[in-house]
Amino acid sequence: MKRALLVSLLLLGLALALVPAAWSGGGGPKQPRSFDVYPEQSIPLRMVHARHLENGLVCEVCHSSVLNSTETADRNLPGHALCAACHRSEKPDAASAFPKAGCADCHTGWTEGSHEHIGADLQPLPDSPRPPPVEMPPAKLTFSHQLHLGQGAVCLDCHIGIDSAEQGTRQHLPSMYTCLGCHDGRKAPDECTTCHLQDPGTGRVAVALSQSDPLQPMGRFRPDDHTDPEWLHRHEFAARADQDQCSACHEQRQCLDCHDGVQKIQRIHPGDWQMTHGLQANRRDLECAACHDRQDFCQDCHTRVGVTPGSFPGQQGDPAGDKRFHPAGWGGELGEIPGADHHSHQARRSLETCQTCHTEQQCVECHAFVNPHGDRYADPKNWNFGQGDGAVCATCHQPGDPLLEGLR
Amino acid sequence: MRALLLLLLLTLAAPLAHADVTRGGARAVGFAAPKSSFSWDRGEGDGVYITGSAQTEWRFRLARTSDDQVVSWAPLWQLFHFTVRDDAPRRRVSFESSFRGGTDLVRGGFRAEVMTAFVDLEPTHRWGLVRVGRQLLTNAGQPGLERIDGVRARMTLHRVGVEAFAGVPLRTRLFALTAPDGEDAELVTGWGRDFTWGAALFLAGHKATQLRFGIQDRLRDGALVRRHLTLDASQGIATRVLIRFDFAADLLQGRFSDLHAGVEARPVDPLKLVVEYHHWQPSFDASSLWSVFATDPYDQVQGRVVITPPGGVFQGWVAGGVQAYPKAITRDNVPRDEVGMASGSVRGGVTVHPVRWMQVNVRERLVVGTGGDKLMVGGSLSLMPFASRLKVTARGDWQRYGFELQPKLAGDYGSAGVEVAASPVPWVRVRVSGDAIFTPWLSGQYQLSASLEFLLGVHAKRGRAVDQVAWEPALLAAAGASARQHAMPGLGARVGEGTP
Repeated sequence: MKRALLVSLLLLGLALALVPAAWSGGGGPKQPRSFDVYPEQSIPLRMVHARHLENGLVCEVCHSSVLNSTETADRNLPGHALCAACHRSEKPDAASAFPKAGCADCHTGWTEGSHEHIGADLQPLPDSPRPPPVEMPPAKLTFSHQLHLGQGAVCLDCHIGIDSAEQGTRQHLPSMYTCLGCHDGRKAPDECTTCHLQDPGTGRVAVALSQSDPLQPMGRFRPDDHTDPEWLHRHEFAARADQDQCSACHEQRQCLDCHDGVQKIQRIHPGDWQMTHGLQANRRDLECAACHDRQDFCQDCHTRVGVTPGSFPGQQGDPAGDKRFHPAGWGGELGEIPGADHHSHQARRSLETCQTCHTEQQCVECHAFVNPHGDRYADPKNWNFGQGDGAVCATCHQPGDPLLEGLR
Repeated sequence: MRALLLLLLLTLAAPLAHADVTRGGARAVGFAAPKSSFSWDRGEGDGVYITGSAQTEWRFRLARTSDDQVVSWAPLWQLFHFTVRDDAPRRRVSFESSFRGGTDLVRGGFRAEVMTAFVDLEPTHRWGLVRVGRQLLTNAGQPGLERIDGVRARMTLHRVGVEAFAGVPLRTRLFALTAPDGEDAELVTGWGRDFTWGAALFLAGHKATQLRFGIQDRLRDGALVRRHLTLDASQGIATRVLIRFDFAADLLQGRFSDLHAGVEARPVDPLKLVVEYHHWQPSFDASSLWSVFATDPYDQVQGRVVITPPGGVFQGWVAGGVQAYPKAITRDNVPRDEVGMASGSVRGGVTVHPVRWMQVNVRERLVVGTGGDKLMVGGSLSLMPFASRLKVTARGDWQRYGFELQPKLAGDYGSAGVEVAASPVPWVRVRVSGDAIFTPWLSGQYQLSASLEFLLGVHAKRGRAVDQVAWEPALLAAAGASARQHAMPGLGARVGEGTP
């Protein structure tokens, strides 16, 4: 137990050493945004946010529609007329206050001339050539600018870094790390579907948002990285810490399909696992009991294929030693010093594996005569009866046995 | 114990400074009313949804005994599932239930059971929850899940929550095997025999901090046979580092039955590094004879490197670790050095997803040390044409196996299989698979399985009187989404499906 604690503390120390490096990375602008949530954009424009702000503009001058925006599908970008109100050089007073601008100054790659394509209403003429369009698909989130602004949020709370950026990009849209700064369940709700979309068919979080992989946790905040290649074997940590978190996407029935299912999903193990699982079961590389009920699932199969008879030489139709389940020397003889193949070594390391086929009574048949207790058992303080009365002792010990002195 | 109860009482006595929706980022519930992103938040989505599913599956296998006698060439199971759920927005009462039934085609007879059936009582602001009925517990301090018939209550106050549960633990009796001597009573759990209760304190509403401290008692035939103390904690740091620490201590046996500590780091986005430590020692009921046997703990250190460049085209990973036991000795304290103390494993895999309709996976696993060696190499090729409505997967494994306890079984093993799954509409999935297993000592191991899954559901349209309800399959709503949006989990499985 002491060694376990020591190693754990060492690992925690290693983690703390990594903290400074982690802090420099952060979950802000540097963290790539999910294409499932924020689809790819195309913004063939030259627009320097920083310069506009330096010139005294505020966000809502150009993005005035955000004040009433309640959906991510709302297009809260300034139209051509609004930009041209300042940037079109023909406007009488504009040139004195703002730089003159030709089409190519904003529309990158534009080679079709200048203002002859703009009408008196500052809109492009109907038959004029058009620059590549700005494509900004809506974020696949539930979001209301109106609601957030009404709660006192300001633009830079979420659009971190846009004030010093040239082009606004997906990286200036809020990351989940930023959102959770307020959506903590106290200042603002922290249910998943507060922000994430709901699947109309299940009511859970919608995960199939794009043609690529489904939306799934990445383990940035909690031990729930579904993209980990060993996630199927390691999701217990997420489930144990907060089972209700899982139910954002999963029903309890899905848990039981594997953990208490009659037929398991086969991709957990290799195809020939049933023939070769013995080694890893004994080594306890995997927690068999997490999904399999040993005394039903395992014993059922062992019984069906007749693996269990012949465990001990001379008993229950020993198949001449050739294909017996346990090796020679497994049982040992009373009085002899157990060899390397004696069952005691494996039993101490993986006693649950014995439970797969054997009942307690089978063990007692021999261990009523062969002391099964460890060295520390001589001290009654190490007896593990809990609040029981030691009834289990009566399996082997007679009433009045002086060895049970500690019970009285 | 008294200290814990006192802490619970103090927490409950704290000012009711609960905030709106403080279940710790818990589940999504309800169905949003059309064209309104905030209908759920405002409690407007008052439509009644009932969704269900059903599944049936047959599996055929040729099984042989250890002396090469054919035992059976027979179908194994037929299974059916059905689930019903209603957790409409802001509803104070909701429920979830699932049922299954089946036939063991060899032994005959139809059996059925209720897997889950619980009712949730919640205030509309979700600061508390009382769940009554058959339900799952995941924090039982023991492997896997625990299913109980009972009550779980949870309350979140400010940043701290308390939870308590009590009930009768259950284990599945569907196709439960009866021991050859007919005495399987000791395997039975259930009403009149077992009882469990527990309590926990946890943090809620913290962005990257999880902490849960709990205790659970298990009583069998009136006697306390287990008392587990559990701690589950994780701390994320700036989305780059995640520290995890969990343990389950068996207070009756006086041991850490399970202890994990791990650190996950992402120095750059495509790279994930994991170091984990695991300590384990078996823990049995105090009333069980197993508890009087001496057992050895093991300690294990593992590492994992995962590389996932942007774009989802490639993922590669390597993992490995060492597991150490105490030196093997006999009851006469004679050391048996030949038994070995350490074993190790190296695992790795590569998944390539060059185009949306194709995925290639190659993986390996090498196990060496105490008890034997095993090398496994496997791979799969999946084709997913027609916007993933069809998925054809071919897979194969090869293993060189040397298990010292069964030296006669050493040799080369392998398997090959093909699976065809089709989901022409999101609410139907058909799957047929065949596998052949090659072994040095048994021949003719084949398995064929087929399943048909379909998802039912009805949706009473919002705002109409009950007698005018226009019932429609809930799946029609799902079908309105893209073809990729499968209602069934699994068919569109992503990269990185690992195997041990």
